[in-house]
Amino acid sequence: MVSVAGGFLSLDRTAALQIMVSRPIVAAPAIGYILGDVLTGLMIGGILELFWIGELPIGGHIPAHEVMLTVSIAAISIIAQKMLGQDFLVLHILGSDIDASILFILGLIILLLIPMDMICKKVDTTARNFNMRFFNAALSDLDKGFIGSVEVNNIKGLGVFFIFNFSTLFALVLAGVLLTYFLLPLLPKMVVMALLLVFGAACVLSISSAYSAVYSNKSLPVFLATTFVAVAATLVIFR
Amino acid sequence: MIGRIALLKVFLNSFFIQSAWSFEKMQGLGFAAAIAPAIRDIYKDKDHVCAALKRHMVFYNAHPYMASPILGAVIRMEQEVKEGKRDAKDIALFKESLIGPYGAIGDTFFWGSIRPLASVCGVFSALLWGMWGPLVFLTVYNIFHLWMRWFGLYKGYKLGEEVVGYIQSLELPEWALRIRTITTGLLGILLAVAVLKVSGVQPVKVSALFVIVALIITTILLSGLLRKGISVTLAIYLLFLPVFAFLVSMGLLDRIGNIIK
Repeated sequence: MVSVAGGFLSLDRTAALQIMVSRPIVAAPAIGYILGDVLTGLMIGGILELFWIGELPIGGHIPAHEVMLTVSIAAISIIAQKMLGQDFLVLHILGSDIDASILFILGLIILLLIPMDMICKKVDTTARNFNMRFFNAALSDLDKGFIGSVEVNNIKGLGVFFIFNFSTLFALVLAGVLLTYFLLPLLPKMVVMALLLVFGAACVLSISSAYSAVYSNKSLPVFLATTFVAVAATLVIFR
Repeated sequence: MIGRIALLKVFLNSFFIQSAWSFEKMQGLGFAAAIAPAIRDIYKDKDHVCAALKRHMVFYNAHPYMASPILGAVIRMEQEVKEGKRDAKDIALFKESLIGPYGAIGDTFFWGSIRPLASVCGVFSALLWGMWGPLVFLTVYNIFHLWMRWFGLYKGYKLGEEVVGYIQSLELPEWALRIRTITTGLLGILLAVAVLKVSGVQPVKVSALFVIVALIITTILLSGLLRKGISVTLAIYLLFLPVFAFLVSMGLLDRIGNIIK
């Protein structure tokens, strides 16, 4: 179900519509909704949305496959948390217990899955190479007088993108869930704690990535000024 | 004049201009498929429709949204070819001449400015109002996107080749720069609000102010690395591994590990 939804969402990335339902901030809560945890999906989407914002699909360049990675990260995190059970990783801080298992799971998934972008890009490249046969088929049909073939062959490209993305997502989510389920309980406490660092690093990198994406010679003063004003306003309002 | 239905079909088909994107012909098939309803409406005769469509089955690549004004203008030019007012070669020249400039304008305006703006607005809204975040993101982005898709096509069809002047008059590169500055400002507010919301705003903790200052410095340093061409994928390991090694060497992870029940 998640792979089918992810396959459809990934079409929006370049192949169809491009109304941006494939962006992490929409895709992750959608996957969260399917899996019954929309708020975790929203949190994951919020962090990952800015993470790849600097990657632009310019010309023939294939940017990071943020849809496949987002869908996989959201799905594996939510499914693995449910499989590991409630209160799997509870932090005891200042006398109170906090269930923070999702943060550890998310740290592990980000660490393991982000390098998988290479596979996602390879799949995308293969699909795009495959599409050339539709161009040739449409051209050959035009020679025979089949006018409708142009639109039909164009839409066939969508099918190729869907099948490639669906299959990759299915494999990634299945492998990721099994790996997390069996690996996380085996990790020493020291390594588990380090996974919080990955989560923190992802948050910091998201802001940095967005800052570098919109960087201009006015960025630094504007960035500093608005941060200062926001802090000052909060201090005044909540004095 | 082509019918409204045909123009509407071209508009809808323009959403699928990259469906069969290939490295060799890029949006070649998508452009031909998008313009097909208008071609059928203009030429009517099957042989002429085939000949016209074959003229568009060539290499073509522009920003997908900026293809709309070109589509509109090409429909107008195809009409003039049918009426014998111009040569079909003009269309190929017109398309080729706009591939580079419209690609660059679209990439700068939509990918480089509107998308980051919508993303920051979306994340900001999600932080404050939860599920409104995705809706705010989609609304901010698609106001600009759908405007270019429809008005670009309509103006292109109405003005023909003159649409180039119309697009130029919109000053999209200048607006892109302004929007990027606004986004940077919103990002600063987002950073402050995120830290204060997590740490609790009443009363504002001194530690939260330290975190904000540390985040500002880290953001500026990391963005310098990213602008030098280091990918975020690599950057997450560059950020994580040294901190991890430091904490392990100091035995800090062992100590704080005890807070796990």
